[in-house]
Amino acid sequence: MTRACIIGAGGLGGPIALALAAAGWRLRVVDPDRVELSNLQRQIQFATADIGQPKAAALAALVRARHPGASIEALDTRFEASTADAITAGVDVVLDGTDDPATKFAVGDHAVARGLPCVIAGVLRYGGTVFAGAPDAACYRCLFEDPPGADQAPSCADAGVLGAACAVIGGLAARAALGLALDQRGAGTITVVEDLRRGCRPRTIPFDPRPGCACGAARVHRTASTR
Amino acid sequence: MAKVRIPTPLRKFTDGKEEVIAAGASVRAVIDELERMHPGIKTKICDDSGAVRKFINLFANEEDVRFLQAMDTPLTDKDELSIVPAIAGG
Ligand SMILES: [Zn+2]
Repeated sequence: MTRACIIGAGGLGGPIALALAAAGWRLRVVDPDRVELSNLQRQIQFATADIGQPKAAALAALVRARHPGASIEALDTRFEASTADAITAGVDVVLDGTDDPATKFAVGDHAVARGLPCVIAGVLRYGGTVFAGAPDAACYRCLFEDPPGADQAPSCADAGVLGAACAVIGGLAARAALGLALDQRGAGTITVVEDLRRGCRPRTIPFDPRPGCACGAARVHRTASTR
Repeated sequence: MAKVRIPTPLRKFTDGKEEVIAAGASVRAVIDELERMHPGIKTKICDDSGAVRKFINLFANEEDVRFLQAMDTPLTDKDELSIVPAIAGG
């Protein structure tokens, strides 16, 4: 049975968890935040009664209610250097659906260091992107070398997110994880949904490892240490 | 000339338009033309030295321009230039 951890139990984490639980995966959802009223428009896994509850536990409870046999664990932990190994212990795939650029890069870096397939999803207004990576393919930093500064990337709170866009991007992220688990299918790609108002089809763009990216050294190091 | 796909965070410069046709025979020339048409957009794509910002990627017809000729990658009117930024929302 495939095991995954989902970093972020919000707008993307919700649809990702529901899709992967329905596929029979064992899940660990990780989020330090509590449900707020302003989340409900896009984080459709939560109801008014969940306001004030830890997001990870509330999401796990919903998944269990739908799938009584589901194996899902909730951690109200922030993903950071000191918690990363515990959060990803024993998993086959790591997914990020947080709203924080630094966390996305940290998840990508950790996946490279530990040789884990990973999916990093982002949503903004009417569209979003889903990155899929695996140990032998390009990493998130092969594509984006560094996170944007605070003034360079609009956040959901500033720019807004169409609630339905979370379902689309979350669904694509879950699909990407299923492909990676199957045979690393789709590794080293970014899938872009430009604007749902135009009914855009997702475009999946493959890209190669970037010469000089730190993932190259990590790959060599891993190969040497597993010999 | 190329069709440029404008990502969500930059559409405030293009009056909300998702696609802009811009003249120019290379990525650099097309971005400069984009700036002429929509002032302010270039500094969001490129840093002060004119290089593409690190959290942004440019694809010419779905090929990463860093593996082509970067800003000198030629473009024709059949080509499409996609600007893909790292998106953080979730
Ligand atoms: Zn890399």
